[in-house]
Amino acid sequence: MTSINSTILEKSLGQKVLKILLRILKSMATSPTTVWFVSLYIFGLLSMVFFNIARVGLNQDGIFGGPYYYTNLFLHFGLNNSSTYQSPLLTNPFLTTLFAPYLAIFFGMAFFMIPNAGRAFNSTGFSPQEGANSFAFFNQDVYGFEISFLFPKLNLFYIGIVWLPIIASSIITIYYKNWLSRETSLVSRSIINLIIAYFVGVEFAKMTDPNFKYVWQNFIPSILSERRNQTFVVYSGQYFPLMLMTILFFYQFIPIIVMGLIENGYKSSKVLLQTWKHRSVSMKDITTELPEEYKNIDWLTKNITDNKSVPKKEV
Amino acid sequence: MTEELKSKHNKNILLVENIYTYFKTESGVVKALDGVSFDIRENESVGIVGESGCGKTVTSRSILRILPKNGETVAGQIFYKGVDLLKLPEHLMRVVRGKEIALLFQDPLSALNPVLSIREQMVDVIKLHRKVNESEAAELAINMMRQVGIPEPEQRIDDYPHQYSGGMRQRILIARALALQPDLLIADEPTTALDVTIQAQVLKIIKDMREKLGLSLMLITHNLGVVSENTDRIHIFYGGRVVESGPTREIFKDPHHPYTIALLESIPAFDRKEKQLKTIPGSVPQLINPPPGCRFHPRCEFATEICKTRPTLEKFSEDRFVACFHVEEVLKSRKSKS
Repeated sequence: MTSINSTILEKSLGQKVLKILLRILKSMATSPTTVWFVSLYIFGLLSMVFFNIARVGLNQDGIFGGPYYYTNLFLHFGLNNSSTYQSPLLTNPFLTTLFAPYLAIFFGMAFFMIPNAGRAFNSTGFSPQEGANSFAFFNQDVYGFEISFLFPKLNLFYIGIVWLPIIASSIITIYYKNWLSRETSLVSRSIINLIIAYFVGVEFAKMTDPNFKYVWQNFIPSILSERRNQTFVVYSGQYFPLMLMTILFFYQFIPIIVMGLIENGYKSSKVLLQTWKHRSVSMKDITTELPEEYKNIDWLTKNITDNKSVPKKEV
Repeated sequence: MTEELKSKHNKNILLVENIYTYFKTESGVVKALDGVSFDIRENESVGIVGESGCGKTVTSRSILRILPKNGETVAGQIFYKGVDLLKLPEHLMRVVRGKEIALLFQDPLSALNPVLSIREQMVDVIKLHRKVNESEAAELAINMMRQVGIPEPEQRIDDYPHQYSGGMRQRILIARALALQPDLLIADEPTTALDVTIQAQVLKIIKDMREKLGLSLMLITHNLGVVSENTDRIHIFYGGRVVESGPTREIFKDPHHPYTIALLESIPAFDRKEKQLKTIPGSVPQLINPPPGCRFHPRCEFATEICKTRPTLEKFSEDRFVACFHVEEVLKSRKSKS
């Protein structure tokens, strides 16, 4: 009897735990933060497909080659130009498709912020021909990519690959969170951003030194030693991976700020429009038409005819 | 109009007769006001007192016909200076709102538009109701702001609501409400959102302005201390009905309805011997499915079978009205206890 009871109790406890876990999973899956990352991914991917078709035409490579093309583009940027490292982000189609939109947005944001980065003439000493060959990917064969609106960084490449997914996913998330009355979590977004930043940062760093690794037994001595003498992170490439991760992580606050600006702009415009509408209705002149049945009501007549132009009492 | 009503109109500025206001919700029909009757006389200050959800705010909104879309006053009459407001055409109600009856809201921040300056919000109202130009309206607004104690009103009129403190915002609302010199001011919990010292200042301003302008006041509150100091008469609300009416002093001194007694006993007082404050057992009635008869009977120590039928608001003595079958027993019990 006791064992039956305990089995029932265990089962019900197990079920309860499962129920709670399912509820947490459901809450996470339907959270505005998830919607933000999913919509950022979808719009990033669609943008890549669209611009890749614009680049190579409507064929198999045009439709499916976008993620690989843009991942390759960003990973081989600058000093990584001649790297032979076979990053899993390029060799594994699943990882390529999974990370391409985030990678493009992470690096796109970084290049957007770094002066002279991300366009053909990104440093002194480059001939236009050299620049066109090595950095032409930013406007290669896509009509309008080379066109700069207002300033060089605001060309169609950045608008299409970086800003469009950020703005579109911001709008979707704002609409969703207002509908659900739930807020996006800055902590969750930061944690996910940090994980992505670490992964893409390490892969970018490995382009100039594929032998990058951690030596965990040297972790504590390295903390206590000078930067140059540390032996915990073994890396001799051009871009220190942890620094890249940190920089990319901080760049990701820009989309968060963009979303805040869009939301506040939307809310303010809504209030302004409502105010304008409300004022146009409430400020309509009070009609002077008085129905027959109310004509003998003194105070009402006085209000209508005189519109109370003279104050009733001295204040 | 009956002779009885006519005689009442001679004294009253507002006469609410048996009004029923219902709200359609997904859970059912909420009977927020269920046969409410009371009056307010000229130059009189009347308190509407009761717990949250008893229908105080709905009463003020029913009077001005500004109920939410799902609400409707389905029966009754509301006479303002002898005119039934429920039958008045909408374009004439616009004359009444603001100019004749002004409403002071509970939360001053949400009652002011955040994207318009105080100048725009005050001038709009004055220009709508008076034949004055922009500068005359602004002058009047500044004058009113000065009277309610806003320092440097000439400069501050161009500020936005967020630049004012809570007490200042409520003063702006009072200035806006009184700029049109209404005859009746409905103050719907005007001090709830304010701290105690500011509450006293705001109430003093209302009192001073009332005396200066000679207007009638309907003060809605759940704060018994506020009504005791600022009203001539009070109407006690419970579950969408009036359970007791009478002069404030008399009700505070000698309450007749069990709910009023319980309410007054729940206030801390220095002269009370009991160490622990009394509470009313049970909870406020659900207005979707209220108890039959007297709505207080499930919580009342005097309740009997008859309380399951509805008591009417009967005249007990001069100016005292009580809706209870057991007034005599209640009074006897009070006497024996004291």
